[in-house]
This record gives sequence, C-alpha cells and structure tokens, in this order.
Amino acid sequence: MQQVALAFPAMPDSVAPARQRMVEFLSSSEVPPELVDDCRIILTEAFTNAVLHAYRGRPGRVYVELAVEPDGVVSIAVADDGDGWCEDSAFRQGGRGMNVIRSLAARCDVTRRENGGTEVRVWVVGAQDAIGA
Amino acid sequence: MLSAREAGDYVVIAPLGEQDLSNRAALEEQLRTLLSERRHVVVDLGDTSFVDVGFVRILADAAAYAAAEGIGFAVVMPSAPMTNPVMRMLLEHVPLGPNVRITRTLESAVVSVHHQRSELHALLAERLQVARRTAWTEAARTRRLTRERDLIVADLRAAMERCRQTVRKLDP
Repeated sequence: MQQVALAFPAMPDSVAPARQRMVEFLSSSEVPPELVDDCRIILTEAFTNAVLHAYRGRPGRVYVELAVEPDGVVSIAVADDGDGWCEDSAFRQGGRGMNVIRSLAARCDVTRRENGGTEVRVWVVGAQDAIGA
Repeated sequence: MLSAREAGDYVVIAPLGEQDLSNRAALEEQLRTLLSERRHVVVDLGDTSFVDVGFVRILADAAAYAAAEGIGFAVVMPSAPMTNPVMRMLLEHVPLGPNVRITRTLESAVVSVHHQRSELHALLAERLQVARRTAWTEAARTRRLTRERDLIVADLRAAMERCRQTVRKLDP
C-alpha cells in the first residue's frame, strides 16, 4: 500500500497546494484520471470544511492522509485539531460539500478525534461498488 | 485569478484556472458590485479548470438575485463534450438552479442577456400599462364620487334652506 501524510496551515490558500500534492501522489500511484478527478473534489470540500469550521479564526493545521491500496481503493483522510465541527454545522452555513463528498465516495466516515478535532475519512473506488460500513 | 472586461452594456467575468476557497471572495465581491450597479453579467468558464461547491453556490445566488431584479445573467461553458470532467461532475452534483442560463459560447450568452433585458422591458411596459389603466380607472371613479358628493351637498343645502324658510313662516 502506498501512503503519504501531509500537514497544511488551516488557511484558504492551503486548499490548492493540498489538492496539487494529492494529484501528484495519486498520479504517481497510477490511479485512473477519472478517480483522481473525484478525489480532487472530495479533498477540496473536506479541506474547505476544516478551514471554515474547525478553528473559528484561530490558527491551526489541517492534516491529510492519502493511501492507495493494492486493489486500487483510494482513501483520503482530512483531519484537524479544532473545536470539533459536525456535518450539521457545515450544512447550516450553506455548504453542500458533504453531500457532494457522500455522492462521490464509496464510504464516508466523519468522526470526532480523541484530541477534540474532527476527521473526515473517505474511500473512493473506480467501480460503483460501495464498501460496507 | 479573475479577469473582467466591459463589452457594451454587459460585463464578462472570466475566472481563470482553479477556483476554490482561496479566491472565491473575489468573484463574490465582483458579482455583488456589478449586480448592485444593475450591470448585465456574463460569466465565462471557458478557461476555468476547477470549481468547488462554494463557487457554484455563488453563481446560483447571483443568478437568483439577477432574475429577481430583472438583470441579465448568463454562464458560458465549453461546448459538449465538456473538456473539464471535474467541472461537469461538480455541476451535476450541485445544480446551478433554474435561474442560470448556460450557453456554449460567449455570443450565445450575450444574446441570452439581451433577451433577458428585452423580457424585462416587456414586463416593465406591461406593468406600466396596467398602472396607467388603474390610474385612469381610479381617476374616473374619483370624478364620479366627487360629482355625487357635490349633488348630495347641494341637496343638503337646499333642504336646509327649506327648513329655514319653514321656520321663518312659523315664527316670523
């Protein structure tokens, strides 16, 4: 399994570099382009939610973990050390990002981290088969 | 990055490259300014390589505002098959809504904006005609009521005069 862990400042200007690093990693892992396109959207929306909702103006970091499993399944985890946001708060602020993530992903888990932050972990597969929760 | 150029009575906004949280504020501000000045807007996505959900929402909100205010608003997207699968995929998942007129070319977008303006002018002309008809009807009604009031006042004065004459006869 190929994997990489990255960290970025929780700022709007970090969204594009995070996306770019992910595209480089997935491309070097020979992930099909159409799957990379799905991942671009997923990472962008999850990262945007972390920047907007996790730290409420305070400085912080957003962590990205990427993995490509031998069977081609891509997993993307976006986490923060913030105050903890839930999908409801993201929806209340007008975002539809989580809806889009769920529609593109085979599986999507949003969990509270032990340190109080939030983690969005998504699995993406080339076929339409969903991964059992 | 965002480029804007004036072309006659409309403004073409062209978001270049990738559009996400880092640069969506510029688009929102630009659209807000133009629409508050009642400028017709064409958003050209021909050189836009990526958009996020927030970007799509800004376009949908601007289009809804423009429709409510009678301002021309259209979006240009590359001809089918779309060259950008990411944008196509995202727009499929986050519909722009019924107010957004999507065209394949800038020329079509301009025609659409002018058509919307013509529709607005037709709507305003219709409303003006209705307002004039209402005003004329109300004026005629006012004149009729005034005449009726004058007749009633005259009748009352005549009745009062008859009363005075009767009183004078009874008590000279």
